[in-house]
Amino acid sequence: MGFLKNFISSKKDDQPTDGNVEWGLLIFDSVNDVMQAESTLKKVSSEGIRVVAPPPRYRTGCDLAIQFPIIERMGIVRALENSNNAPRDIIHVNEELMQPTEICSVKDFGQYLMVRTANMKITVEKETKKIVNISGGGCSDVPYLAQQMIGKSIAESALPRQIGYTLCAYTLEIAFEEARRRLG
Amino acid sequence: MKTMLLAGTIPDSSLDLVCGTARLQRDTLAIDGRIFPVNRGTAAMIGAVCAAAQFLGNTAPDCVIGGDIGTRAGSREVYRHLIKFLPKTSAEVLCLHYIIPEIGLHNQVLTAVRKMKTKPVLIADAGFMYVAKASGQASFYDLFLPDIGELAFLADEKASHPAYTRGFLTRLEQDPEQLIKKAAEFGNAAKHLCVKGLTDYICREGAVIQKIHDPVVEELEPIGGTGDTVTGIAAALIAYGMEIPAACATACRANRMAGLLARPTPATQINEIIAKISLALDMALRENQASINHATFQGGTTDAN
Repeated sequence: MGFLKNFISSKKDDQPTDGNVEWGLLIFDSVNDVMQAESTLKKVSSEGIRVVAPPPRYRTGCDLAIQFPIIERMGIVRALENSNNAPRDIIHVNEELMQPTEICSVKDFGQYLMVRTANMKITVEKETKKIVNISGGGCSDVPYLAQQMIGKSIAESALPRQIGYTLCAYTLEIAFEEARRRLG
Repeated sequence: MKTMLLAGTIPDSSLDLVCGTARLQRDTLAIDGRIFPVNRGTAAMIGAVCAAAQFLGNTAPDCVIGGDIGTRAGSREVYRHLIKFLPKTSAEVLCLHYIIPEIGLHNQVLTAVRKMKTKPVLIADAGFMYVAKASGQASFYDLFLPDIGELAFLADEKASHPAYTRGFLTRLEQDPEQLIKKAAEFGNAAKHLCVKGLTDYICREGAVIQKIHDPVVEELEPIGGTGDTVTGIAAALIAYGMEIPAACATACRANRMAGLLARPTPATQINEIIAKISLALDMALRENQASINHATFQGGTTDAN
């Protein structure tokens, strides 16, 4: 179909680790705790805070951790304790850890816009800005997120990171933000 | 005709584990006295299995369903049930679906499968496919059904979840055949892959054996559940006795036809497409037959596309 257009955008990709900084890693019990902690820490200091895959010994299959400059450990732990979300473990890391993708591809269906990040897609009606479909993913909160978000406008809908629990929710959040950025 | 067991989750945190035979009643599924809407995810997959099984005259599938909104509770109940009961069951087709990946529990499920009298045809999609790959045991499975983003994940030997797929592989999505080769090379593919996309790729041991292009219904891509219905139809056809590649090719074509019959927009919901599966499957099977008749008449082999 001629009117369909594809775009690919990326905010970051394979960002290198700064060799001069010593890094620590915050390990939490769930991806949801990581998403909440990331929001807390970005309010306090966004410098050097990155969500990453934990090292293999901490992996179960759907995991996320937070990398931070170890020099900021005290302030970071205090901020998390104050928000009742202290990490389960804090470790030193000197290996490069994988980061979740932020690559978005956009497909224009005329009346609708679909944004995809990795395995997650969100489709919004351009005129009403209503979320009309969410597809892809494999973790068990995806059908729940669809149930909660479809039919809501992108301005009013809860954020996937607020109501989701998994890496699929984290990925959907990136696609959701891109849809918001484009359709406002 | 083979017996089926389908396992996955439904987004209801108050739901205890449900086990029983599923029946499709218009837009809902009835399992063990409980009624579930057929919207997306595992419910859509089971809905498609039921619709196809009804048309084919198969027995209705048995199901294990956990209630899970992402907290892991329902997923863990499903894992534990499978670990405990699989060695005692005689399911011949086992289809594993939306679930939170947990490598340790997954590995125990595979141990339970190994204790079954006869190894079932093992199908994984969604979260179960992610954990199968992340565990390094993908080759134990008979069939994975990734979409193009999930295929890039299978091709990435380092990623433990599609969210971590590296950029250079995401950019290779324009060339699925390279991704298919990489997934097989790294041992991250099941014996068969059914890659769902604008073109569907049916693969065995890393080689593409068939491509499905028609009918083109671009509006299916944004509709939640259209991948789940391919998985459901393919599983029902495998239970009916079809070889895996033929079942996948027929399922892909039937799913496209069901989409076409539903006259979808990107806002269409999956229950409208599930309602067209029996008619679409009838059309796809007639095409298969016509193709075989044509090949017999020509004295040659058949390209089922």
